[in-house]
Amino acid sequence: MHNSAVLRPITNLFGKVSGFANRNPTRMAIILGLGLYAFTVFQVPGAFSVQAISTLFMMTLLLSFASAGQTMVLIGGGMDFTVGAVMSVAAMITTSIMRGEDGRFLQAFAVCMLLGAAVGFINGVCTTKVGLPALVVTLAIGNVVTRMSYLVTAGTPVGRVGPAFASSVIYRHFGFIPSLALYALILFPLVFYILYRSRFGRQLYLVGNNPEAARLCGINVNKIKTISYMISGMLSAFTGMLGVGMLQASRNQMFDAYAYQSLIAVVVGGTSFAGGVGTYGGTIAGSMVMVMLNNMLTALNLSQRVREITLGLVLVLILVMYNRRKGVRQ
Amino acid sequence: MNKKLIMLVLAFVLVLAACGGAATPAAPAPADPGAATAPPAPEAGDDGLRPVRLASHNAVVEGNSFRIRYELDIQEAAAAAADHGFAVSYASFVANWDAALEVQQLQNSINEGYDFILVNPVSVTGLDPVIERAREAGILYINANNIYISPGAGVLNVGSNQFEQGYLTAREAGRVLGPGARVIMMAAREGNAASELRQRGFEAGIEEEQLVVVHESFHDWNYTQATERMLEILNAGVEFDGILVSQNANALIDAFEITGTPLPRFIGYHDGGNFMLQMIELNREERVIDFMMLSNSPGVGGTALNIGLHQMLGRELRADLPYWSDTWDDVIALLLPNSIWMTYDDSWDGRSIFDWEDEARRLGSDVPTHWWTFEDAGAHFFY
Repeated sequence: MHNSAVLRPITNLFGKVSGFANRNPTRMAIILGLGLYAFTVFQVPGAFSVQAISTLFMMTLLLSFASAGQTMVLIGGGMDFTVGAVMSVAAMITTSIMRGEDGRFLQAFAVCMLLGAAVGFINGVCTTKVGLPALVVTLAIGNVVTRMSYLVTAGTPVGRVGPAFASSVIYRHFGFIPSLALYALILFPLVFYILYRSRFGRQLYLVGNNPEAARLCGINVNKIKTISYMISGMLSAFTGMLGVGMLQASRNQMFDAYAYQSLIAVVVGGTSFAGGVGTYGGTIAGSMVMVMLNNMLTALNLSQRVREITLGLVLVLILVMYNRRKGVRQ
Repeated sequence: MNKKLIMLVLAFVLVLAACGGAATPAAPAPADPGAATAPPAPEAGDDGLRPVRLASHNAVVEGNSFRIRYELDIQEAAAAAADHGFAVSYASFVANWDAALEVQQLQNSINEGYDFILVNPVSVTGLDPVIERAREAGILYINANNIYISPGAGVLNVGSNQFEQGYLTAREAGRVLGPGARVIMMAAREGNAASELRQRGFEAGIEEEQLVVVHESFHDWNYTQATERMLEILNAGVEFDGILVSQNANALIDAFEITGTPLPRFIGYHDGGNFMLQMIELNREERVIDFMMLSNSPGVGGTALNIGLHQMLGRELRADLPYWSDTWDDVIALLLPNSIWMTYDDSWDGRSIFDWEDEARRLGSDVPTHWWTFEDAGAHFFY
């Protein structure tokens, strides 16, 4: 009796926050991200600097690019665990083709896009035609992509990106605006257009909401889902190129962690695992939450294992809070 | 029909994926392909060479420049053994950090009757039954690089002096920065014997030089993770004068470049040619950053091979060598000195850092290496 009296205010508060998060996921993610940063600065005033903000901005952008395709796939009712593997392989392709020369950028870009589209196509066909869970299929294909990269490079990818390309990613305009933001000026409107203005985007939401209804409306559900995986593959490949532009040299599996990070950023941004619900604006805000959370745990100077455990627990809490949405009626 | 075909393709893909961590046959070819099929024989063959079948077991090779060079050095040492009456055939097995797979691969090597098993293990314990089986089968078993610390295993370890690497780096940081200086400490991997030994060395040096550790982290020997950790530290506004890092210093320098943050006064250590080149370029116009370059020589595998060959001839290891005995009970670890090192002011061969530019470019991400020849190993380590 006593216990329930103590717990009731806590559960009520959790319920209210959870309700707000589900009604306004993007706003909630923005509040959460800014709150985490404010707490970090309160604890460690040195964390408030132009350089730090600029780098946090850059890392948020990179994660939001990686999460763009994942958002589309989740809205369509799927899941893409090949994001990290495709990013890593695209990074290796970029350095091995460019070999320090900017003139080869277009070649690298073309090969990376082909790779992303091919992996996305295989993901799409395997999940839609065979009907196996997207989680299993994309994990397996991601693993195959990774092993093939080892086979081709023998574990030692070569080359570097061209200096102008590297500069187009890490140069800071006026000392604090990262050049990566210029890529956002192209990518963000493109993703917003695809999701909210194109016929494909509208069909994607309907497919994710209720595939049977979509089929009865004459929509080729398998085709729409496969296209979403292909877009995800291409966006992942392009993000891998930008990522290696930042780090300048490639390594095997260098961006593997982005598979999980992108998925969590998308869910934190309000996209439902059940499909049919979600916004890219929410994903960008979710990416900010992920970056700010990592930053806060580092600033608090906790041991790394404690940081990783705390990160896991906080993410579980956030995901529980965000997934109280009622399923769409089938 | 189409569905069946796709299911077959998918099944194939899944099987391939499941094989991701499976035994990887040696990327490098055996040193002596002709001898690779020869049955084990204690006596010399018609060619006057004694055939030795060597199985080199590794936790990881792909993507790790140290392990790649480690395997290549073993191959070179195996080829050189022909001058001393051995026809060493060589096979390599990689467990990809999977301890269960490592045990399975070792069991296979014992069953197949290899003469000599050289292991750079996944974990520092858990192989006692396998070691016992190898011993019963009359197979020479030596553990190289990552020291196996299970008490009473009675296995010979041959490793670089990891303690010294941490210790020398921290002492150099103290010399450059002075007492009371604030340092970041980024370790390699928790629970790994080499990393733990280095940390003991770092701690001893830090205490002697009265340095203050303001932030601790580790990078798991992963370049990207090292860069990301450093980015997080810079974003978090941690104030420091220098960085102590258990290899991968080059990845941390990249983080400073990405953020545009001024460099610290000291960083150490790493052993790749790329790190040497970074230091040359940063200090070309004026002294910008002090550093420690130390080669955790991958040649330790080649040295272990030559020590094993002497043991096969029945020679006895000297008792007055720098064994590691005060850290873990009953561990026989022969620690090799770190013979390749460089700071801003000095280097192992007396050359200036700038005289190393061509060599550093040639090395790239590879590291300067050194292994003890058959003659040197015999002269230094045996009665």
